[in-house]
Amino acid sequence: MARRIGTARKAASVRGGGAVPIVLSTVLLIAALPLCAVAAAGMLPAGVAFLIDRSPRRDLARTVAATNLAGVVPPATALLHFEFSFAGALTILREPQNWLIMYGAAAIGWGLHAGMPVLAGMVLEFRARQAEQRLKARAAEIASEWGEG
Amino acid sequence: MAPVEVEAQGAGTVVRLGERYEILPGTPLAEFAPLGGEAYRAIDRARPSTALYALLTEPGAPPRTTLLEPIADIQIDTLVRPVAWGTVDWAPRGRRLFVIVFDEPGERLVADGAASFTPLSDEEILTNVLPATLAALKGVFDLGTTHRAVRPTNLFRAGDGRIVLGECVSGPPAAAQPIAFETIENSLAHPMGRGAGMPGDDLYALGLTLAMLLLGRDPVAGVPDDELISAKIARGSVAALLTGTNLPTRMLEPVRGLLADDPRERWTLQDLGIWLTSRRVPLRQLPPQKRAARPFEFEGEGHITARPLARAFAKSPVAAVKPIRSGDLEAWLARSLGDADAAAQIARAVEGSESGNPASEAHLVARVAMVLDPAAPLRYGDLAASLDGLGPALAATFRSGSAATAIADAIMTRLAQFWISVQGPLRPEQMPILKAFDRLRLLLEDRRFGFGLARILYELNPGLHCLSPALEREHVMDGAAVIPALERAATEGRLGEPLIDRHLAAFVAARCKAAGTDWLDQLASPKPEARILGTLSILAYLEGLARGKAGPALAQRVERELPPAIERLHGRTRRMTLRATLSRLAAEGQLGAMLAAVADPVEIARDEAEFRAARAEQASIRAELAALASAAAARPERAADLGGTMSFALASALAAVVAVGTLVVGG
Repeated sequence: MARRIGTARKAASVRGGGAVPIVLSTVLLIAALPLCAVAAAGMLPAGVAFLIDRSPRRDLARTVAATNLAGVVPPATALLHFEFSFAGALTILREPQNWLIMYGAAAIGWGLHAGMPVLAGMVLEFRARQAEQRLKARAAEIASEWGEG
Repeated sequence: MAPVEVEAQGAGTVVRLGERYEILPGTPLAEFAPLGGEAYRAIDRARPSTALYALLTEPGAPPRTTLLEPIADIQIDTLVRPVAWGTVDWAPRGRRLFVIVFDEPGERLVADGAASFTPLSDEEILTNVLPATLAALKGVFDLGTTHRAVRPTNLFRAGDGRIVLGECVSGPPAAAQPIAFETIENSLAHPMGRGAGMPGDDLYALGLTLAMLLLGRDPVAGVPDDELISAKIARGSVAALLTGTNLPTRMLEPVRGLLADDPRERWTLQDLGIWLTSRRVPLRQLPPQKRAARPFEFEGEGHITARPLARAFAKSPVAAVKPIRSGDLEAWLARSLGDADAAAQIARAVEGSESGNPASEAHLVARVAMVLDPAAPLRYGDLAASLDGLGPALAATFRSGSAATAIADAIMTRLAQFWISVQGPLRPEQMPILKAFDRLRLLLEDRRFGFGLARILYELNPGLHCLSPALEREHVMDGAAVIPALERAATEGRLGEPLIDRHLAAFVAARCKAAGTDWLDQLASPKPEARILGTLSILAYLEGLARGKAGPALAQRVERELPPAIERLHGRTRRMTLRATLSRLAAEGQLGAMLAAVADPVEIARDEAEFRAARAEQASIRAELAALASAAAARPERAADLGGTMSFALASALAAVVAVGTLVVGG
């Protein structure tokens, strides 16, 4: 009996906990609809990245999302200062410069993800070669003093 | 008088013996030289007015060095005593020699034993010769030894008329005695193998000496030795030596008493003393010698006593086998001679021997000869020596270059122990002799350097110098003299291979017991590094005895053989340092320091520990290199992972900076 009461309370708690973010998101969406419109349009590359990145850690999606988000911040700030309305959002989205900023930032993220493994490979290769040289030099030094083992 | 330390240098016409004595090679003194020997004027720089002579010892006849000190300390003026001794450079012979310096005793009483001379009166014998010789012999006997050189040609008359008995230490005991002066038993031995014997042997010689002095001639001069021995055995010494002579009546008793063939019947020193003071004659009732009812025929000659038969067997051992094995001898002993014990002993000896084996049959004949004549010396093959004469006999064999197989066989087949067993019930004083011969047998069985027959040679001859080819002419008599001699030999390029040969190893092992035996084990090792370390360790020990540095020639010769010992170290730098150290020490001639450097246990342990650590590090490096090689294939994947992480981190940082900057600027 006690176990049934406990399980029912936990289920209620989960149900309550899940509802709050949804309610808050809905309120925020209604309250900040212009901002959401700008963000939805500007974060489109991040969405695409999430769709095509199938790696377990989703590094591409996360990198593109981070830079894309940074690119959305200036148009969003301009919306807050210009006219925080759906019309203001449309005005912001009509500016090609804002699209360049948002999508250019996403492109930078894409570039970072493409270039960093090459750079990391070079670093790893360099470090391995250095370690090998150091070990071989020490081995030669020991062999010279104590003979080949 | 204290003897001089052994060290001398040749210097022109004067040869120095230590700091105090000088020998003049240009002033020979033939009157003091033994037959075939050399004597020279000597000077004591502390007592220049004292007349001295130096006697050169012969390299093949080891002097009785153990008696030098005790006899030098005897306070008797009727005995020639050594005052100094040592080894000197003797340029005329191009070698070093052992010399003994004596006080000059006066004029020799009889210059030539074979020629006639003015006889001494019985009065002079009684008042001068006998008291003097008795005092001298008593002094020697009190030391627990014998003189073994009592003969007219070794008696001297001092300036004050006193009779002085000559020296007895310059050669093996009795080696120079004419056979007439030897008892029957001793005359059966090789001159070098007669041994120190018993006091009775000196008294026998004294008996004939008295007779000769009274007669003014040698009563058996010109008689061949073999014939004289046969005559002594057949008729007894008194009859063989004195038949046809006319001795003063009152001297007949002591001369006969001293020349008695049975040692139990022979007069003792005490008997002679009593007779001198009271003229009382000791009476001893001894059973007569056993004589057979019928003779034993051997090689055409009939023998009615056991002694001549034993001698005949010893002379013809091959022919003796047949009558011994046939049982004729046992039957003759038991039935005709009435000696059942001897017959039983021979039966046992025959049972224990192997028929048809020459060595076993020679051994059988030797045992039979001992049973027949227990008092005779040990006779086996070409060996004829008493037990205490085996050493000098062995030295003579080595010196002549012959193989001493008979002596080696005699020791290996325990003939000496058998000789003791036939002397009657074992006496306590015979136990050390038995143990000594058992030890000699063990030494002989050991084939390593420092053992074998060479070791026995030096164990049995304390006065023998080292016969190693490189050192023989250096006349090395003790451990302290080895290193200087080796240095001279190294300088002159006389050192052979190996540096320590069988003779030198045996000599040092016999003379330097305190050195232990580890170095001998090392010399026998198959490992070259162990052999050279053994060589260096004993040389360093001998350097300590010599109380000085070894000298560069020897040390550099040793250094040339040290590489295997240096190679024991694993570290290259350590080896280089050690080589440089050894090179410096060798140039300075420091063998002890070289040993300390090359066998430093701390340094060796440190080298071993560092070597193990180096090997472990090598293994670790190999593992690390293998890991690097195997990681190369996975490196692109790792680079991709790392790149992804880095790109997200950089993007996040960039985004944060841009966002914050925009908000700050926009605000």
